[in-house]
Amino acid sequence: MTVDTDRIPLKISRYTEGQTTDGYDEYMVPYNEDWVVLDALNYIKDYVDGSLAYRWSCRMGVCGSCGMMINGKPKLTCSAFLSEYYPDPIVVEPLANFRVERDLIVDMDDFIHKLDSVKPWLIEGDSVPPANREYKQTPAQLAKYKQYSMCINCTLCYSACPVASNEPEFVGPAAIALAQRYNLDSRDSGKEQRLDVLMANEGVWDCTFVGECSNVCPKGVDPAAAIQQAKLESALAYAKSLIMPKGNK
Amino acid sequence: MTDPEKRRPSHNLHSNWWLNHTRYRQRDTRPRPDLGATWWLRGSSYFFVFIRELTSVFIALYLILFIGLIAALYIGAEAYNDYMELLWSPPLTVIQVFTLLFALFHTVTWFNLTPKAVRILKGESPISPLFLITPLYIVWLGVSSIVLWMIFS
Ligand code: SF4
Ligand code: FES
Repeated sequence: MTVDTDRIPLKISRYTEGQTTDGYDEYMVPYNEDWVVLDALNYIKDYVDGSLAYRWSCRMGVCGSCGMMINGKPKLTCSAFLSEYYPDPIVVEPLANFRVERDLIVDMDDFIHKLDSVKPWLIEGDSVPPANREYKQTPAQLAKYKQYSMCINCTLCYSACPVASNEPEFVGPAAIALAQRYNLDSRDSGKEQRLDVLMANEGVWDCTFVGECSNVCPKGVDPAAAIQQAKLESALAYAKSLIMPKGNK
Repeated sequence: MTDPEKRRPSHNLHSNWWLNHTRYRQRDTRPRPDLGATWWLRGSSYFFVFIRELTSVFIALYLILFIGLIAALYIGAEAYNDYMELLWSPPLTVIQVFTLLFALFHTVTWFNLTPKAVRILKGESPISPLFLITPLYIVWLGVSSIVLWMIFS
């Protein structure tokens, strides 16, 4: 493929149900300094090949739906500028470690099940506020979990993780970060319920602390830190259950 | 306004998700491109993690040598002297030097990662990682000095 001065080549992975071999299509797209990879995909879809399938919505790094592998690295296509790659070709593939549904669209069911399993919502305990009154929280209490609450469920962290790659049952970085987001919330009482999932073999102990999840996270969530903190808490909870087998509730 | 309790899912969602998942995977023919066996060659950050994990192999080898040393000590003075001679042989010396370097690399990387596992907030911001890392180095140097003193005094 030759490179025009004002065009950039995109090599895009294609898949339709039943296809058994790897397939790529190549397109030349006008090069525009302001364009991100998602703009190039939209150009292809609008003017060259309407059959190309991919997800996107907000175009501003908020919805988390446009994650793809760009030259082998998981990225939000709405935040990856063509200028970072120009004039070299850009290879766009679906997020690694997920089942491919069609072209660049992956099946998120597996992730959603994992997310569900850690109960990512406030679980009320004894400290329910009086009816029609708000929960009060100090800035220091908010600071404990705020970083983890920035997760946009883009799952780039799953695609960067060699453990998720080799062990599809691993609960994974974002789900564990979100479990911690609620575990550290002063309004929540669900920690013990979540620990059941986090302490299982497929939970925190599968993680070997590669740390690449945090490197690729576009929101600075640092799921690797969340997992190590959850490991420490799991170990302490286990030790506590040995010392006080009955009084652990 | 809706009662918040009504908006909240009330059921225990998919507590057996991994069973469903395994069954699902078995009959799923769609491709699942993964990072492959050569994931550790995908960039320097992966590579260093791989090296960090690889250090364990050398430490395991050294432990075998160490167990041999204890066994020789148990058998008697002559066996111990023979074993020490064996340990000083060039190939085993090389293994031990590598083990020491890898152990140092492993220790330093883990010490530096400690603040990730322990997050202590002072007010709204986390305390400096140095507060967590420095004591580890102090204890390490202290214990190592005692061991060296015991060996050479
Ligand atoms: S932790 Fe970061 S990379 Fe992972 S899903 Fe959340 S925002 Fe995306
Ligand atoms: S389109 Fe919403 S994050 Fe990229």
